[in-house]
Amino acid sequence: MRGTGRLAAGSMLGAALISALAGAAVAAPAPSSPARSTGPIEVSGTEAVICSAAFDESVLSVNLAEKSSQSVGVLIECNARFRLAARSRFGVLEHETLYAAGDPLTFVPYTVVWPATLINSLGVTIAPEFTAAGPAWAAGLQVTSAPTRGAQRGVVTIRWGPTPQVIAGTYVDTFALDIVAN
Amino acid sequence: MTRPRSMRNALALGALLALAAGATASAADSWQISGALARACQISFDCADGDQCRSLTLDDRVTVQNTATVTWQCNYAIEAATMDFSSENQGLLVNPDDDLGLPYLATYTGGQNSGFAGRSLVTHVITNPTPDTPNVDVSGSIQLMLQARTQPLFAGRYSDRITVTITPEAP
Repeated sequence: MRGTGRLAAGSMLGAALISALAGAAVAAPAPSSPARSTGPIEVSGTEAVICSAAFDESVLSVNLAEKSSQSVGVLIECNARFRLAARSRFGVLEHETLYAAGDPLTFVPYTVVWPATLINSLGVTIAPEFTAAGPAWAAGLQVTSAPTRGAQRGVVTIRWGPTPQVIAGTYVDTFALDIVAN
Repeated sequence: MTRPRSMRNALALGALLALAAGATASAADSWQISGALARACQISFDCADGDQCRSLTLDDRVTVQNTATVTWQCNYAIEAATMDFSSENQGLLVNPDDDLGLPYLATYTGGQNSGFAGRSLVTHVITNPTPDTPNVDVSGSIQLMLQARTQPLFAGRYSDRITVTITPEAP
């Protein structure tokens, strides 16, 4: 570069400054940029709903005069929050052919004892209110519950009193369980 | 003694030329410019399902399952960077309805010292990749192997969020 004396002096000052800056840049290491992150990456899988309720036996026959109770195994399993409904058809053991409403000689009252061994994931017994007299079962019972952790097993017991006066024959009722994941 | 006018003019021109020659010699100059480019690394991920990796088979506790492909690169070579793998749920897939998580072990298959195998993300996992070549992608898969647990799973989605951070090491 060529120029007048005054311009040359200014340029030399500029060059000195640039050289100082360049010298500093060369002497110092290049800075690192900040950390860079992904996503985050969402990883997941889905577990399907498994829900079932069942009695171990579909038909039970018992001598009403010789016994005062009969038990049947029950299994409840639901891996989601669920609603459990229970119902009996009659609410009493009805004489198969001679039943007459209000005639105590043609039916046998009973009570259902629901098992306390059915536990949900919160450690709470499932449906303790299902321990009830037959008419309550006939009216229908319903509870909601937290999920179970795996299958829960218990024994439902039907109890009835002495039957010295009732008419001979076959007495029946039908119990039903219905489970639905919420 | 009186000099002729032409001689006086010649002397004055000579003095000016001498002055000009001196001024020109002192104005020689040069410029230098230099700059620095910071070390930097880039990282990205890709899931087969879009932005979320939803394909884990929860009942499979023995197979290593692929999730995301993580790709990184740095603009320098030979020297190291730091990769940090972390989990939002400390190495568990969680379901809001289930107070128990589903643990997993993680693997990253990336090369150039960025990978690791079968580690829980209960705490951060750190690796120190050393890129072979500047600005060349290195890819690997994040794989999960779900662990056994005694309690059955609840219905619904079990998930976690994994973050991978790469930081250039200072020169």
